Amino acid sequence: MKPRSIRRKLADRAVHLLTAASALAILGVVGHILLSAVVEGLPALLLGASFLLEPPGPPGGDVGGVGPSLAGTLVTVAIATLASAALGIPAGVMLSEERGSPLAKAAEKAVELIAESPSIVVGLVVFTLLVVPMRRPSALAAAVSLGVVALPYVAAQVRESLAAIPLAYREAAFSLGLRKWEAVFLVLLPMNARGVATAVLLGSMRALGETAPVLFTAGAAFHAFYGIDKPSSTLSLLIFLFAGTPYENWRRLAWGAVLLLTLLSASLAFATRRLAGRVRM
Amino acid sequence: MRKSIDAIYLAVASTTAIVVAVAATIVLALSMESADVLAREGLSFVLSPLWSPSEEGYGSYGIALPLAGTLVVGALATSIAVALSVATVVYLHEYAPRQVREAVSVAMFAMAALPTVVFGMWGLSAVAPLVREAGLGALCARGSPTGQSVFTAALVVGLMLTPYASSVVSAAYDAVPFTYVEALHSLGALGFERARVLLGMVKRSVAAAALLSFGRAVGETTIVALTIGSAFNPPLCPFEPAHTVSSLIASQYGNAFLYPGLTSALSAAALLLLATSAVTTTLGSRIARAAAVAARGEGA
Amino acid sequence: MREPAVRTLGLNVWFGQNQVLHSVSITVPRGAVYAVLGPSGCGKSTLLRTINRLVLLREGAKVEGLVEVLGVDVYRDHSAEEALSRVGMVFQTPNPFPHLSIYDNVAIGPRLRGMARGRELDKLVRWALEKAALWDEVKDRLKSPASSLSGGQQQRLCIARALATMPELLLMDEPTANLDPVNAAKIEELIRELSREVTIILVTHDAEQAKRLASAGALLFMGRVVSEGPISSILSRSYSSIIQSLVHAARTSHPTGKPHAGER
Repeated sequence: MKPRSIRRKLADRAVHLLTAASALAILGVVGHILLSAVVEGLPALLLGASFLLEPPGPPGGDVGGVGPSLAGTLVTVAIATLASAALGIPAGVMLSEERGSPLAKAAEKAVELIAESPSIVVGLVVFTLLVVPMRRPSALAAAVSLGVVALPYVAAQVRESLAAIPLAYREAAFSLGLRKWEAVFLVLLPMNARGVATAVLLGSMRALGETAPVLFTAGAAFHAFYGIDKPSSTLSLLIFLFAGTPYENWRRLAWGAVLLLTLLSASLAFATRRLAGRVRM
Repeated sequence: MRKSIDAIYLAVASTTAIVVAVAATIVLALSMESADVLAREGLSFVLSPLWSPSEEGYGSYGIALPLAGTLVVGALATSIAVALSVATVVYLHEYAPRQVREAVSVAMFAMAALPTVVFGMWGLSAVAPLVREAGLGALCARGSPTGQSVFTAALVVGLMLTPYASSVVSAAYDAVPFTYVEALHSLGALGFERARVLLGMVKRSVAAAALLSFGRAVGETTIVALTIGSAFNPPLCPFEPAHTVSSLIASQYGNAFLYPGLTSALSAAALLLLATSAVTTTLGSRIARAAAVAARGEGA
Repeated sequence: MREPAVRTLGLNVWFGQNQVLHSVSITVPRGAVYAVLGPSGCGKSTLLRTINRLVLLREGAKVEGLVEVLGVDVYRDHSAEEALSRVGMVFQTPNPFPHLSIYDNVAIGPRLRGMARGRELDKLVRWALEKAALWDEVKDRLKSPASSLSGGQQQRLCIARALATMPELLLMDEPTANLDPVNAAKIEELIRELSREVTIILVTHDAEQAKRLASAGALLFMGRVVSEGPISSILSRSYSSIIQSLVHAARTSHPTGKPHAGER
């Protein structure tokens, strides 16, 4: 073989190995993260019901559980999902069906802005608008900030799935003798139930995984769930704050929460994938 | 009949208006809160390295150091994400067998579904100790004793960004019309030679991926707060601890009530973050859209 | 006497479960312009791509049988790549790399192979563009992007790009199909010129073009070779009547599973 073609082959080999290493690195990182979560978190999870219901143990003592934080997560995510769906679905419909109108254009910019806002910024704004007047952090404030963060994802997903309806079906829907908005809500949207469900799931996935917005708004009440308008906590917050403690049992607890949170998030992610195939997150 | 239709439209329109109001509220609330500290500090808010909320009276607020940290971590993390994405996309398209493509695709999906706090926990418990044990801190004057550093934060943020950057680059690479791939094969181009030409065709999408990733990196809080070491340190040497604007805000969460000017200062910092993120993301989206239009035109 | 430029024997090609070429055996003599004719969907483009192995890029492609290019079995022999480096291809829709300049488009092949550099490369690029009858039109703007050229010019640029690697065999997949008559005529003129130095396999659906340019060829129908040999003997009747009788024969027989005329 000529020397030049040997050099080319070697260079190709080198690039092949280098790029394969990169792909392998990514596989390795994901694998290691998931493995760590399982290895470190399973002991806590295996405590069973007590892990899910009890509050954290004292520093240096029992592991305890994530009960109150789990309750906080469930409550805030539920409210955030409802709020982001209630606002995001109609907004998404408007974005898709009235594209050129001034309201839709403003909404387009608005959704973009919220999506671009770092989630800590949202948390800070809700802090100044809700927490300060209420004089205390609360599950409600946390839910509001999570809802705002989730909102753009819901709206965008609804818009995309409506836009993807084939023209033939649209024409059929609009030819039924209904007025435009009746057709949209009575025919198009139900036709597109999957897309809407995906949107809502995406929204709740977002809300579940976020930490920064609840930092300023939820409070740090890990030992009991006191109510919606009182200080609370979430799983993500627990992990964030307990991660760096010097106490072994609290770190164990944090890992248990990591595994739990990952399982919850993974379930939502796979449900989303089942519903809608590939989705840009 | 007319009444009920209008009712639906009214409901939708007013909900949409609320969404617009939410966005406006964010900007307005931040601006109003920030007014105080910006009026007092002016430009030195951005230029001064002195952050001292407890100082006489109002306090002294300068975010120069965390701002530098945000830019350095952002740039580093973006570079890591883009490098990994491009390399992986080239591997998947030019070299990988079918099963490996599937595996990596699943891995990317899983990675994108992980909450950032999980990344942060992993960064703190797995990456920081590695940095510490490798003695990399010794390479820097104020090297981190815990392994939490600019580098650690940038690495984990970069990894977190990779699935997203990958999806942008991969979509663009896939969109290159097949006829160019055939032409390259007919000229005898090898894998890396084809990749060179094809990447040249999707340059703009790679740039867009970089900008969009940078925008996300700027706003990332959870991972950074756990892995950067929270120190008021100029981010000159990567293995030293530092702050970013986001980690600074996060670190003050308990103090917000205590100091008079602190909320205002944090809001001003947040406003800056929002502006940076918005500008980079909008630019990135615009380039991505232009690239998509161009690709369709060239393929025609 | 040199071996034929291309020889296939019992060539079968599948895309997944779908067989697109059935026992294709052809011989392309050196120095010929060899036409591959047939209606759309008959497999002529696939046959072309089987010769330079581009067919393997498609999903689920499977190739069986012998394919000898410039004397080398390109699906089994180790020196296949070397042989294929002496084969060039021009595609139906002109596909110069849009983000590269005219110069870089022509130079890409030689650069990859290390054939020339600097002044030598400039000379090679000029030579290829002259051979493709494009030099005069672009000599003052070699650095402009290829996308700035018209369709006909782009196709000539693609021919120059293929010629720059000095191939012995040129595969052309309906090169004038997407061009206006004026540019098509220019390309045909080019093919006549080039055929003095390279062997050309020309896929076309235009029987008149085959008669004008080719010395020999093969007629394909539904993935099978119906007739092969000198152009005059393949096209002894009018092309449309040939196709008509082939279609009729397909309908009234079973091999392809089409229903009997009476079974509707």
